[in-house]
Amino acid sequence: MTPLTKDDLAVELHRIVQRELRLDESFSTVSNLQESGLDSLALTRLLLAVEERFGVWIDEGLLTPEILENVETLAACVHELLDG
Amino acid sequence: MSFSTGERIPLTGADCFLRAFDYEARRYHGASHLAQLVVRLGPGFDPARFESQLARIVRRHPVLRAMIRRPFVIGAPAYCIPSQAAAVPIRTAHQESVTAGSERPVPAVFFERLNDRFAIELGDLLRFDIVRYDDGSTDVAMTWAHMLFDAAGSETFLAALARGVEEPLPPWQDTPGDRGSSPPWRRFVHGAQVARRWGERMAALGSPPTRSLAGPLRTVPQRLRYALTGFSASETESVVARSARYAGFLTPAMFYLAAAMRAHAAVFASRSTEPECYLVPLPVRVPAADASVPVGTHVSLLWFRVLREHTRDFAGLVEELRRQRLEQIRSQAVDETAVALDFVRPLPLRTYAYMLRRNLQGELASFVFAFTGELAPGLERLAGAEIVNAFHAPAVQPSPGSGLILCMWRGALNLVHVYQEGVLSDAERTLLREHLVEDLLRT
Repeated sequence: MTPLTKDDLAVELHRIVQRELRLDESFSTVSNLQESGLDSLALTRLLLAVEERFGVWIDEGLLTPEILENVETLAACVHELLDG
Repeated sequence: MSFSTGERIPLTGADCFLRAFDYEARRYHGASHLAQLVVRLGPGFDPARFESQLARIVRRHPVLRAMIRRPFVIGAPAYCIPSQAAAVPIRTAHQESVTAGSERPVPAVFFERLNDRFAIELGDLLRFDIVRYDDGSTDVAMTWAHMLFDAAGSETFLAALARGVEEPLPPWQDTPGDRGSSPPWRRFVHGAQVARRWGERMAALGSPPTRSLAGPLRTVPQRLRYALTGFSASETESVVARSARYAGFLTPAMFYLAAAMRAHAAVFASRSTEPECYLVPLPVRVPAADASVPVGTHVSLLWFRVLREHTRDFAGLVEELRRQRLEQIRSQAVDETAVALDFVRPLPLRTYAYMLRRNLQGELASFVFAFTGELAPGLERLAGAEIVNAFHAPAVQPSPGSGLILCMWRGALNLVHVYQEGVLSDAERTLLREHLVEDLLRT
């Protein structure tokens, strides 16, 4: 199977975040996640959705405000974890 | 969104849950189940402007004065929108200032208000108390029937009141039980199944039984008080850094809950009556995307049950709480609690506390806890005066009789210990506070 690129990941994550937070089309991969309504409960649900889709659990302790800036920064973190 | 006269707005499951505790508080202890938000202001407060802003917001949102009615046959209780909303009561008092530089003591009238009985069914949902000091500063307490707002909702309302413009409040949100395209019978069956699972979850939490500092159902009259401990900005920085180290950036509430649990354990230990386990409910907002909903409570509960042994090691306790939080979210406990609460809305009020006590084998919780984060970000002024501090103080039931509520005001932590008189001695309250501060600040 071809490994996912960072851009593929960002597209997938964008879809998941949009679904989890019930966001409309104006939400993009560079939209601020916290301003879009991502609180700690929503974020944990997002991490569980990421685990289900990609099989990788992002330990909540690893997360920083920088990683949670937007979908692209989160995708970079997931990509790094998938790369091992 | 505005509502037409006579329109009925069903209460959410969480509204009914909180209203059930209002019933219990009134029946056994005399007062209503209320919550309070205190705003401390510098000079420049304009009472006339405040009153007119409040009147305008009530005219625009008469639901703030709506009566509550139960359907004749069966169904969820509902707010009935009045044709003309009466003014929200405002009581004003004057007091001498205290020594400059020290945090003012909380005015006694605020405690009195928290021990009041509101005619909630008749639309007596919200009241204000204003205390003017001779140095020009002012304290404002907004006290409301707890079912009207959750903490975040009260902050949204306060911000709208402070803006004082014809800006509408965000729209009303219906409840999970009222949503969805599936037919009513299917939603009913789903609700029944989820409610049964929820009952089983609660029953599992009741063994061994929960014990609070107040003991089983106290039937003494309610006499609530609270003590405010303010942390400086530099102290708060240390607390936040310590919280991030133990609980990460995402779940600071687990850090504060661990400290609150150990502080209560210290009091139990001083009485040589430590229970086998501690049980604490933590309100969480659902659904996350509707964080701006101002009226109606939209919360679910996470329940944390920790064995006495786990409270010995702070780091281990935080880890255990984080594990339980994740496990509950993973197993859909948050959503299922909200669905279950919606499902049981038609039940008589007395059955809520009865069922909970029966499942938990006696007592409802070891203590009450909430961490609400930064209070009303962006809010700077109210009716012409700068806001210098603000904090929440919700009522706690005579049993468990003790609650810790933490929030931030512009980077400074406020710790409010709400308690029923007679539950803790002065020495025990000091012990609790010292243990809490030590766990929050220890380097």
